[in-house]
Amino acid sequence: MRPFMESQHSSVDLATAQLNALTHGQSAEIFKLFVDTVKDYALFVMSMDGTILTWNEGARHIKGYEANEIIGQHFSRFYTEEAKKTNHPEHELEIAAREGRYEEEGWRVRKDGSKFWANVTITLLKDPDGNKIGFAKVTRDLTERRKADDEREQATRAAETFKLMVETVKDYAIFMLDPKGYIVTWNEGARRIKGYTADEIIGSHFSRFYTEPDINRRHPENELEIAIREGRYEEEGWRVRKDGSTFWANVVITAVRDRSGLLLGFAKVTRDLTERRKAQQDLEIAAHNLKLLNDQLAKANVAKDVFLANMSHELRTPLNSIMGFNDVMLLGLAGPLNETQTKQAVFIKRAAQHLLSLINDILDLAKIESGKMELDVVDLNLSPLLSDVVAGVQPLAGERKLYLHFEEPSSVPLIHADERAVRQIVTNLISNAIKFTDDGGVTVSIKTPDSDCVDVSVKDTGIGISKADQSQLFQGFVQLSRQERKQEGTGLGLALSKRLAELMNGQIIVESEPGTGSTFVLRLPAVRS
Amino acid sequence: MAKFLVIEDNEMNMELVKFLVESSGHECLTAVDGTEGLELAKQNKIDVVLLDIQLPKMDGFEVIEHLRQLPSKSRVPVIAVSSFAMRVDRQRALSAGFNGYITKPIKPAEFMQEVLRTAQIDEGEARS
Repeated sequence: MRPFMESQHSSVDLATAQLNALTHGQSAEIFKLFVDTVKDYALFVMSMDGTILTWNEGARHIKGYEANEIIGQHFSRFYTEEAKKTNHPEHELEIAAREGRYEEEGWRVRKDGSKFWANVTITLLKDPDGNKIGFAKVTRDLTERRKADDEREQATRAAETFKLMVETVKDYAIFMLDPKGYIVTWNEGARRIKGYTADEIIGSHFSRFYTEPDINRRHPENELEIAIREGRYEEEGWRVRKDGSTFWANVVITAVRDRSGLLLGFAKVTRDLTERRKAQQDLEIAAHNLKLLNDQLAKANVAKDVFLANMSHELRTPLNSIMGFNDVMLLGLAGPLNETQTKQAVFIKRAAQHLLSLINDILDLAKIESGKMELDVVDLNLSPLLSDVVAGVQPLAGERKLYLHFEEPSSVPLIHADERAVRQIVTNLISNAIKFTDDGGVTVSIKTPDSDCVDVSVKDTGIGISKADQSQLFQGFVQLSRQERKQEGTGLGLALSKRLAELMNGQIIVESEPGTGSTFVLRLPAVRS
Repeated sequence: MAKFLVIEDNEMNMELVKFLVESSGHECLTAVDGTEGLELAKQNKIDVVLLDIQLPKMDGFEVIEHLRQLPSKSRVPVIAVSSFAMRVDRQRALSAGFNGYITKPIKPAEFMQEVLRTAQIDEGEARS
């Protein structure tokens, strides 16, 4: 495929001879000087078979070969392996020979193996007689231009994507202001939140989104001034829609500057917080109402306590006469009663005592509930105290033909409690046990489950309490439904005992099986030794 | 025989106390409010005053204050008979100058004994 390689002369000599023929001798020097000094273009002449015949400064600069290295070589060495495999260099020459010219842009290879993006023009050279004598090849390195083009294209695409993204965001109004505050861009979110279309609003001043008081106090201008000074301004405030309605907005204004620091304008992002604010306000209103209700309840509770205390006091006055005169009659101070009258006066006395215990329990509960229960918590020895209480209740057990034992231990740790309260609680627990036991009796004992506390256990052989009923035991005014006969009690005793125990940092624990009896335990804090 | 002054606004409670005082052989003057009671105290030699706390117009605390200002009554035993049953009520009364505090409902079997003991009057002793 090298039809012009007919002599065995050195390729340089041949090239010189051919060049002289081409330039008619005289102009050869000038032409050569011109071509040689062009730096930005690789200019060289090839024979018809593609052998390089000349080399200029531009070619050296672009392709990296010195003239003596490359002259006489085939031009295909500037091509990539892929191009060579498809005979692309030869193809180019065929086209140039046939049509006089071939031009393309494509990858070429430098001496060091690196590639560059080249604009290549191959022009067919003819002598004055019209004989084809070779080709002139002009190559320009377009790598930089191509890189710049690529970058520009990429930047344009990114900008397009970004613009599209901003435009389609629905939940935020995102738009640009020029340095004076006039609207330059508009997005879907802005249309949705503020109600204006882009056509309607672009070119208007952004202050039209503000309420009149804000405009009057120059708030929009102040916002821009702060954004200029500090780079950014953020606030929540009322803004106005196209239809005149207001909405609660979160607004961020950011100053946008070019690399040199020149102010290009402002990016403004607005979010409609009306719903959030409304939800928050609803919550505040609900909280406020709840507080009012709570205050009312607290007042009602105080009123209840005052009422109970007063009632307890007022009830004592007539009860004083009833019990007093009844006792006077029983004492026979105004003359003796007969047997029946005595028996009936005893009934009055018992009923009145029941009424009095009710009144006392109510007063105590009211005192506890209102925090006015005064306790005198000291170190107490339980044994003598319990002996005393048991002795006091013994007659009640005797009346019902039940045993009442106190298993007095040899030694008991001191407890930390109020003596009167402990008496009241234990008396209540033993009285209850007696009331709800028909056969057998009641055993009182002291146990120390651990070093922190002491238990007073009141165990009976009575009717017991179901699990369901146990949960209601300590609520005031509840006497359990299971009772076959109505017991004479206030229904307040256990509620009161529980609260008293708690006031002393103690508790009341119940264990019971219907039919086998109940055990009530008063647990109180022990004095640490 | 001692002379009692009972100041009590409830008629039946008054009758009860009067009955108990007289049944044990003592003399009893009665007043239904503080003003009337103070008037009687000025005019009579009194050995014991039984004073209700909750009274119309002037309460028991005011009555004892005025009573103590009467030269002849500055040291007369005054016992509160009250339906205020809280511990603080008793303490308040004792620090206000009452010599004793009895809570209603009273116990007739023990009432006079307690009153006489508090007033330091021997059974049957007369001061006039």
